[in-house]
Amino acid sequence: MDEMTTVRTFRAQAPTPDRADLVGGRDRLLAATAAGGAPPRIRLVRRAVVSGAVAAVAAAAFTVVQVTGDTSGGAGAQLGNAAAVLENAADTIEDAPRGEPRPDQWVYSKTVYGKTLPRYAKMQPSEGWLRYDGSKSAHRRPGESKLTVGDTDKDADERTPQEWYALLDSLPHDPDALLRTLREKSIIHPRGKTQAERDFAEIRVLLGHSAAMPVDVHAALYRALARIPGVSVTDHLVKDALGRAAVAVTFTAPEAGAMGGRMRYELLLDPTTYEQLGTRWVAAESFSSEKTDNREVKKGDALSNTADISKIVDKPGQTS
Amino acid sequence: MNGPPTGESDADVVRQSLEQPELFALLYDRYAPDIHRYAARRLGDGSADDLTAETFLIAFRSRTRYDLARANARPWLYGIAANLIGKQRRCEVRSLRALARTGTDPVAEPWVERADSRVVAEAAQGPLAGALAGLSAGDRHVLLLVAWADLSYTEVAEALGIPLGTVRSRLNRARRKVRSALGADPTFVHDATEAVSHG
Repeated sequence: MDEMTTVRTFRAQAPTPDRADLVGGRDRLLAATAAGGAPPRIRLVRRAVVSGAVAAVAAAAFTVVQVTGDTSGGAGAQLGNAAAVLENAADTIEDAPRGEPRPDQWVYSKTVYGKTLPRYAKMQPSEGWLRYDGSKSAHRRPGESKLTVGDTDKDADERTPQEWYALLDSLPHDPDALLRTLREKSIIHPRGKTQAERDFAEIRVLLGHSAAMPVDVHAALYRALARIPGVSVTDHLVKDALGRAAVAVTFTAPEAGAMGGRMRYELLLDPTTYEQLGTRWVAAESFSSEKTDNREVKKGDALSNTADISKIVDKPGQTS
Repeated sequence: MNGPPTGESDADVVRQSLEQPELFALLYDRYAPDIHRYAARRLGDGSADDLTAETFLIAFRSRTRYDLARANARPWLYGIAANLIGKQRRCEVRSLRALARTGTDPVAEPWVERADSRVVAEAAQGPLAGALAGLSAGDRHVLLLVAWADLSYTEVAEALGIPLGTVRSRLNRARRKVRSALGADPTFVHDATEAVSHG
């Protein structure tokens, strides 16, 4: 037996772990995806209460028209017109009462997963807290009351919320200049066959950090979105995973990866405050492929459907 | 066992997870069993749960730096795990020395009863453990990533962030030390053949 074989057989009886050994780690990972990594979620603005699951979509649409009044700024009146809706969204966001959080505040995030294909449906709602300065994180397992608070790993190179804010604060407020800068900086290294696809990916990830984002940059991102070919706004309100009425800003890439143009991505915005409510990834036509577990996906089915709740709070464990 | 089953590559999953963080759990489902077993083999069952969890938390938080040109994330994950294992090297070395001294392996003890047979000759275990304990941390990483994690030389270089030439030289040195500890004549084995089969 040569020495490599001897080494290979040493402790070779080590067992393959069973589910019970791994479930704790998976929970911690999901808590982290909800707390730190999760894009959007941080919102300082007091979101206008759209009466959630109770509100019928039609009623909400009516409300929008009522609230916004005249046609020049009314999302309700101009649904379907991406440029008008996103310009209105930008105007609204510019007036949002939002400042930078204090370093000792916490970002509370909860992600709820709506109905999707089975492979994505395993996801339980997850909630977590991340200190704004990134020094600590906390999580709570689904269905448990015990809160686990810990130091974050100093070696981790994920940006803290505070670092994201500084990065975003350095971006231009002019939408064309912003697009140019994003192409040069390529903050998330998006891949995609077309410039439009890469631009959209870049912006939708940055919008994920909109909670702690200077309002001028947030507004510029909305205006830049309107300049991307393939971006449109649905002509009716939709519902997010929590049943909240939402304006859907959609993007369909001509050749988006292996699924071709068959999927569209949706950013769901609150029709009143224009804060991001969630995201969906929806079939633009019926098809089946390996990536859908060879099940038929029907037009309108969601492969991913999340609603995000996020708040700045003073202590971990607080949800409002 | 060396790659993702079907569907998206690991790089696809990492990329999608930039926008939909929860999808990173798919990588956990693919590789946590491998990482857990590797950790258990080096440090014992008691450390493996935490080490696996930590590995994926760190991977998740550094995913923006993942090189999307690398379809397979295994080397990256093993590299993170190796780094964490390195922080507990005193504990690892203590167990190996205990085995060398007493003939009983504190790490493998919980598994021995479950094992059908013990492949490694009892006699070889002590000297081998002593040799592993005597390696530098870097040499031990390279040797065990090749022998236990089945990484190729190129993958080990990726995992540890070191040049391919360094992988070869570390492996050669580690093998030489193990060989002499096992009592073989070090001059008889040609490293070149092994290098070709793994290169």
